[in-house]
Amino acid sequence: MSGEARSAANGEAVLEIEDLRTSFRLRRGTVRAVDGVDLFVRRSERVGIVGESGCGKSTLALSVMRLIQTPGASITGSVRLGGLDLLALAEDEMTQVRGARVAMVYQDPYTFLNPVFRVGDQIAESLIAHRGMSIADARTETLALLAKLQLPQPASIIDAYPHQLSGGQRQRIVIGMAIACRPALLIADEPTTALDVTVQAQTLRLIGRLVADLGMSLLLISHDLSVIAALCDRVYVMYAGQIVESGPVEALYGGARHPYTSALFGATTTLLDPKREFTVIPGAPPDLASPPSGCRFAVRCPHRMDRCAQPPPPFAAGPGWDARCWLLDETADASARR
Amino acid sequence: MSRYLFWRLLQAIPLSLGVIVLTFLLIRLAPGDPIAVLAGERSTAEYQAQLRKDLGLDQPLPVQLVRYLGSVLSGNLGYSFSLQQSVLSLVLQRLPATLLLMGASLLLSVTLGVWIGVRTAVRPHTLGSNVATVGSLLGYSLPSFWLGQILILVFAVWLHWFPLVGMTSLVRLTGLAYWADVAWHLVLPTLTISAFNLALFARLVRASMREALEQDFIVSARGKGLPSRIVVYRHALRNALLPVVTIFGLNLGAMLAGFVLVETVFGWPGLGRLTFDAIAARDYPVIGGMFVFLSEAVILANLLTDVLYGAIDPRIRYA
Ligand SMILES: Nc1ncnc2c1ncn2[C@@H]1O[C@H](COP(=O)(O)OP(=O)(O)OP(=O)(O)O)[C@@H](O)[C@H]1O
Ligand code: SF4
Ligand SMILES: [Mg+2]
Repeated sequence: MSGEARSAANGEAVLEIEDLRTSFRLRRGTVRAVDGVDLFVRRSERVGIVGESGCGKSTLALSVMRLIQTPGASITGSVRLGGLDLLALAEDEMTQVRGARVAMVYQDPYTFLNPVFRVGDQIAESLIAHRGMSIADARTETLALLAKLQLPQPASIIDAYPHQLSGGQRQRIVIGMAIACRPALLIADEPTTALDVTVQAQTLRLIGRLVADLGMSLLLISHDLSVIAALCDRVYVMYAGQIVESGPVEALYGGARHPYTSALFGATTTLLDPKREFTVIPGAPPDLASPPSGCRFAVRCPHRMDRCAQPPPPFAAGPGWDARCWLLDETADASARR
Repeated sequence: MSRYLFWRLLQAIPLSLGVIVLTFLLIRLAPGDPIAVLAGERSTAEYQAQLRKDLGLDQPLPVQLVRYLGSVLSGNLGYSFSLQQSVLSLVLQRLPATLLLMGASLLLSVTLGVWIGVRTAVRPHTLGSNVATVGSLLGYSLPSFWLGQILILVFAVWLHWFPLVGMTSLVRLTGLAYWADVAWHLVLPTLTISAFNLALFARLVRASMREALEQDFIVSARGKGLPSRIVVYRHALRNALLPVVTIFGLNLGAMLAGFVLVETVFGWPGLGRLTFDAIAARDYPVIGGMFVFLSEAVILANLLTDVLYGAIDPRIRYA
């Protein structure tokens, strides 16, 4: 564990994850989608998680929310939210935490809204469940919230059905569902990936403003570094179920230390350009059912060495900056010799 | 909503007329001369010709068809020779008994079927779910006339818990005692009809609930911190009911056909029994009248099903 995580444990952390492991048992083997992740988010901090498709970002978020329903899935480690040990809570206790103290914005506003209920009701039911509001009070509060979400004509949108709204409007409703009860932590899993390019930047700015206004902490997941850079203070880079590099966004932009992070920066250059996926990194990530025993990036790494057959531990690269790569060990050795 | 309804109503009109025309053709083209049956075999040729003229059967077929359409549309379904009554008044006499039986069995099979379907979808691997699955397979495959006879044998003949046949006891009862008596007679036929429908609904609801529970909006409903009761019965069930309503509408005709057998087995004085008796007596006007009446009932029921569908799914309403 880095020194950072320990200082976070002293109280300023809203979310603190230690050695989180989530696996799915499939016929072809056990898929370790999240494999020993340490991560923390401070109060009012905006933290990003970035990584290629399939590296376990959504699984990580859903594990924190305890929303993984797949039979046979296992979640171990520790997830602390404020003073609560989420993985130890009974299901009905967790029900009171979800939506109230931690809430999530999902990737696809088309499928995460219930098609047969009015969008206003889908926001209001959260207020009714957690704050015990009357239907009338919840409606008033929802109207105010819709205005805060910059939706035009809240009085008519509150009674609309999802299919009557545009993608951008729907995603604002999903955001509204999440922030209705002002959770301490907002998790946004690729909140703009499914949206039109024209509304992506707008939606990101809205999330940024709401997080600041309501004093929430943000955990923003994206496969697009430019999205993270636009909004976050710190970033975790995830590869094949593990965190390979973490640190302040400017530090990583200034010179990433892990070859995978460098490759990511090389791959995404233009801000918010959806056509630039980083499949430009040659090769494919390992199968999470049987990952290599050494460094998981080794087969794709241009700097691969003999010792990369051993799994690298995290090395400090600067203040609050870690990277899980043997290259950092050598530079440490070299500077010690001089 | 109202525009959608208007269009559906408009579509129902040609369908209804088609049913009447089909009925007319079926009866007119049926083998055998109705006049010969009506007048008696030993009547004179003059008498038969007179009768034919009186009944308008000497006119060309298209003229007869227009007359028939006119009379059906004005509520005249024909005249039963065997029962010496207008078909419409016969239908109206028998309708309440059938509606009562239908209402009771729908109430039982829909509520219980939905409940079982939801429970078995939410917890598929419990003992209760396995029992319910086997039970619904059984209910689905037992023929209703056979089940009816077994129920009569066990609960009426051997145990004397319920009456053998009929809708009322021979003694004259009034008020509450009368209705209690009817309810007592209602139990076995209701169970017989419900067995199939209960199984049908339980299986349908289970299948569509399992699909609904896999949807992303269930994840977000749980993510809001809603209790699982609300997630299941509000968010999932409302979506799961859509295919159930459709199948229900499609199945209604078959269900009405089932009434012919069950009402006959239980001596229930409803439309099904009337149909059975009319077929036995070759009472063509009653058969034709029943055909028109039941077809229109199915058309109406499907209209109501569509309205219900629109009420559940807003995407239909505004489409
Ligand atoms: N319910 C599940 N059952 C089995 N395997 C799963 C399940 N959910 C995720 N996985 C597997 O776990 C791995 C991580 O998936 P996850 O969705 O967390 O990745 P991601 O980083 O969010 O990807 P994306 O950017 O495409 O959303 C993948 O290999 C995926 O196939
Ligand atoms: S540990 Fe070795 S293989 Fe892995 S990223 Fe560093 S240099 Fe590349
Ligand atoms: Mg994902």
